[in-house]
Amino acid sequence: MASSASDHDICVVGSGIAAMMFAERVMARGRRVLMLERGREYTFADRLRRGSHDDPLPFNRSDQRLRHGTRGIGPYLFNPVYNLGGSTNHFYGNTPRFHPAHFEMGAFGGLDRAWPVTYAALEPYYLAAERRLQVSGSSVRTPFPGRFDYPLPPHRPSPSDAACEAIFGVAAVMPVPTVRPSAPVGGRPQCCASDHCNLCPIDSKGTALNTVYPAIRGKVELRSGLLATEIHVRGRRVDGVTVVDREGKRSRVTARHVVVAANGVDSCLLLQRSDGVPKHPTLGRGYMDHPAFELAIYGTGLDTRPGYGSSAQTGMITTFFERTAEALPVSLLGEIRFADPLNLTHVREPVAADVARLALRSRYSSAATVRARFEEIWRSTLYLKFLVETQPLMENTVSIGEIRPSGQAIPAIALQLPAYFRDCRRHVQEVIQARLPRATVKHMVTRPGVHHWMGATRMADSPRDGSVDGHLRYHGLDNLSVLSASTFPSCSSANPTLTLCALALRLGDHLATS
Amino acid sequence: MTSMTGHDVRRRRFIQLIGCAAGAAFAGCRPARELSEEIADLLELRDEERAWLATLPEDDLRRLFAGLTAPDVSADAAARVIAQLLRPRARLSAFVRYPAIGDLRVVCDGLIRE
Repeated sequence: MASSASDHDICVVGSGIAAMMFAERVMARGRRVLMLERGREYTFADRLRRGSHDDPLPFNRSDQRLRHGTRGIGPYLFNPVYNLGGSTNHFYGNTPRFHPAHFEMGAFGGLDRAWPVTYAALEPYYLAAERRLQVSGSSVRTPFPGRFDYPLPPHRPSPSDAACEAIFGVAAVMPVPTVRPSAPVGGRPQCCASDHCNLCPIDSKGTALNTVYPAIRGKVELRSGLLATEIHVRGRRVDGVTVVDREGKRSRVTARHVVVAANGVDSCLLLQRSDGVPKHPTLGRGYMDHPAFELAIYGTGLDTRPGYGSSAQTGMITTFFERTAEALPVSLLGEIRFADPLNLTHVREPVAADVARLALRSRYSSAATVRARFEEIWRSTLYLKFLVETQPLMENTVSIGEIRPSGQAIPAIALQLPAYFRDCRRHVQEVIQARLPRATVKHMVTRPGVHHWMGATRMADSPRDGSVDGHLRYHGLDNLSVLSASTFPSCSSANPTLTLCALALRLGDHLATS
Repeated sequence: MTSMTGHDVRRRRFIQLIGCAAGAAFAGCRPARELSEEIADLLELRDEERAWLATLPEDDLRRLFAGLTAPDVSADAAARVIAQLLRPRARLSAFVRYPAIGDLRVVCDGLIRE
């Protein structure tokens, strides 16, 4: 095996938004960074031309939509973007913070879900991350006290947002913090509301590629098309990382510190497949994703106008965001998905069928004709999605299902819906029904996860309870860190990207000064 | 002679259609084209929208007509046909009298910006 001598201070495995923000932070302090990326350096133009983020290298088979059994709720999809920039290339772009209480809450269901880092410690990094990513949001209308200074104003509320204000109260509807810009910024145009965020047609949405990468390009040593397959350990130190290229040729890279910054599943798999890395009791356990349920509400009597809005989503419902609110044991964050009934076929068709049924039976409208009734009911239909915080159950696991000849590790994921999930859904339905007694509140879809891969290398002060400490250092190894949502010991119900970016900046400061 | 209201005519037409659907090939069964025209009228389809119905098989046309004329009996099946009819985004948008919207993948007017 060839050996690549390195004078790098830090080797980062992965090139997602957190990896890039971390690299930028430490390079500003004079550290030399080597970044390993298993995919290739597709530009945005490449992606638009190909209509896809998929990378055809033999160890990057993400296009096959790996399926894993989940108890009673159908298949669970793990479909990462394996190339430069990682998941922000195709994410939806919502960047809320976690609630302060979500860092502090103690045991629930027999497992400690407190973080070894507090909200107060993370707040300066939240602010810095929001500035770096040019987040659009409201510094006033947030669900909790704290310092906010969003660089861009929030998007204009949609009619559905206004309807939710009438139902839940103005204070409970938060303009969504998002990297879909509400105004031109950093050479990117204002979000055009295409609702096609997976491959933004005008490169407006903030991604790793169009925010941080331009600042580190040419400064970081990027080696792409190399899959990291093993971390080598001697004593308490990592002394190299084996990488394999598309021809199967193996080599070894070294650096004084290694940061595993792949996605929340592959970070765990790399640690698991590396013989010398200590296997802490929780490694691969406590895996979480946000299960979600979607509700259609017909006959609201409000002007909701599905399809009208200035970005793909403009509001969130925070009524259930605090764990103690509304008597729920966990946090729920509601997304006001006004675009989905018009734009997503799998939503549009069942909603249209429901509206047609109501129109034919003259419910919620006394207009003279079917079409007029359909239009009236359609324009008062609300579509909501609620992300549910998952308990970090130890029986929810990530493990190595298979190592392919290419070197790619295929995960085996065991995941079950928490027992309280249906209670949460029922409670939300009852709350809405109580506030809209004439409406029909219909459960449309349950999703076992929303591509938020968290918890498999959880953070805790002790190696008995977690794989990494409060500064993301791997327990038992002096020069290995994990920078991934897999380090979250509990998951709030908020989208994880911003919290991960804040952790990236904090880790950068920590390593640059230690 | 008692004159028939529009509702009565449609109800009689519905009874005929039920007969057709059951396989009775009696003289009252009209061709699909004629049925489409009646449905287009009932749904208030504009001239440029009437072609939507050409994509529906005859059985669906009959289900739709039945639902439009006797919704107490046949609303569920007819609602499914309407949803199928409005499956393309542009059709649904037009049906609820939204302003024209573009193709999500090629232009940036995917939502309706006020």
